[in-house]
Amino acid sequence: MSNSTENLRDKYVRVALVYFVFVLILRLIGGKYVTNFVGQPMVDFGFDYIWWVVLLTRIPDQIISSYFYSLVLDISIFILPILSFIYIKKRWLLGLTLAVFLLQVITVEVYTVSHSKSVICLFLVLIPGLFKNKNFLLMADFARYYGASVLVSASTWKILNGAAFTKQHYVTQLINQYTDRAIMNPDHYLYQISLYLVNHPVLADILFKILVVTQLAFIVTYFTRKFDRLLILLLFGFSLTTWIFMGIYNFDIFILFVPLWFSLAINEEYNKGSVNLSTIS
Amino acid sequence: MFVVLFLFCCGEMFFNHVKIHSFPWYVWDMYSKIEQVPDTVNLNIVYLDNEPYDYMQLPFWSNIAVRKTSDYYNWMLYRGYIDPFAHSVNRRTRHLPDFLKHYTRKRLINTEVNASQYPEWLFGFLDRQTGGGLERLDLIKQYYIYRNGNYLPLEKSDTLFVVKKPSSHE
Repeated sequence: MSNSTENLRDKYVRVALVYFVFVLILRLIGGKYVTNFVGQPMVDFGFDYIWWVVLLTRIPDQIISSYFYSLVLDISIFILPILSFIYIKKRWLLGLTLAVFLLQVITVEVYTVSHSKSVICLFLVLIPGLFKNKNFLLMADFARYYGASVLVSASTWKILNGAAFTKQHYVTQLINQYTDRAIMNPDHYLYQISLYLVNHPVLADILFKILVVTQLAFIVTYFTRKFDRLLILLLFGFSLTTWIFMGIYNFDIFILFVPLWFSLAINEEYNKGSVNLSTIS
Repeated sequence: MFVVLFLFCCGEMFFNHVKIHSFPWYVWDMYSKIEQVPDTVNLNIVYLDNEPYDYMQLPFWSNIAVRKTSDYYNWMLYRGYIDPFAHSVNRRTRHLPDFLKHYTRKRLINTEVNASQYPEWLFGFLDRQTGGGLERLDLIKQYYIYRNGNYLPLEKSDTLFVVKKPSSHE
C-alpha cells in the first residue's frame, strides 16, 4: 500500500473510531447496553433476516441470560475500538470490533424490542478501514455515496408519500410522537418544544420543509465534492434538531461526516496517480 | 469489489421495493406516511408502590425498553399469548426442512412461558433503575381520549399484571 494512502486510511479510521467511542458513551449513558437488560425473556427480531440467523445460533440468548457474558460483551465493545485505535495497522482488530459490536447491537435490540436503522451508518463508515490501498479508497467513497443516499432516500420518501406537501403533517407527527410525554410528563422540555410547534402549525410546516430540503441537499454529493464539508454542517444540524424537535436519536448518522471530511483527500489520492481507477477490479 | 458493491446496491433496491427492513438494507421512509391523530389512545402506565411512575425520566433507551417491551407483552396478552409475529414466521419458514422449520419457529416465536416471565423481569429492572426497595409493581393499560389538544383519561383501564416483592420468609 502506498504510504500516502496508508496514512490516509489510518487518519480516516482514527477519526471514525474517536466518534464511534463517543457514540458508545452516548449509548452507555442512554442505557443501551446488554447488562442493563439481563434476563428479559421476550424476543422481537422483526423481519430482519440477519437477526433471525444470529438468534438461531442461540448466542444472544446465552448472553442475555448471563450477567457475566453480558458484562464481558459490554466491556469488550469499549476496549476493542481503543485497541483498534492504538494498533491502527492491525485491521483484524477493527474487524473484531465491528463483529462484537454487531452482536451487541442485535442482542440489545432483540431483547428491548426496538430496532434502530441509523446504526448501519456506524458500520458503513468503519468497514472501509478493513481494506487497504485501492479497496480502502473505493469503500470509503462508497460510504460517502451510500451515506448521502440514506438522507436523499429519506427525503424522497417524504416527497413520494406526500408528507412533504401535506399541511399539518408535522403537527400530526408531533402529537402522535409525544403521546406518552403529554400524558406522563407534560412539563418535559422536549414536550414543551413540540407543544409550541403544534400551536404554531405554520412554523412547524416550514421546519418540516426545511428538513426535507436539508436531506435532499445531499444529492449534490453525486455531482461534486466541493460542498462536502458544508454538508457536514447540515448533517450536524440535522442530528441536533431532530433530537431537539422530535426526540429522535440520530447521532449515529452523524458519523457520515468522516467520509465527507476525507472525500477531497480521497479524490487527491485518485488524481495523484497513486491509484489508477482503470485497474480497480 | 465493484461486484460486491453492485450486489449491495441491488439488495438495497430490492428491499426498498418490498419495503422490508433487513440489516444492512433499510427503507428510510420514517415520518413520510400521512397519519391521523387517533381519537383514542392507550398507554401502559407503571405504578410503583401504588404511585404512578414516569418511566420517561429513565435514560433514553431504558425508557424505550420499558415502553416497547410492555407494549409487546400487552400485544401477546390480548392475543391469548400468541406471538403477533408467529403467523409471519410460520409463513416464511414453511418451505424449510422439518427439523429446521421447528427449530427456527421455536427460537423466534415467543410463547406463554416467555410472556409469563416478563412481569418479574420488569419488576427487577425497575427496582434496579429506582435504586432498590420496590415492593409492588402494577402495569395498567389506561385509555385516553384526545380532545382540544389534551389527553383525557377514560374510565376504562385494564390491569395487565401486578407483581409484589416476595416476602422475606418465603
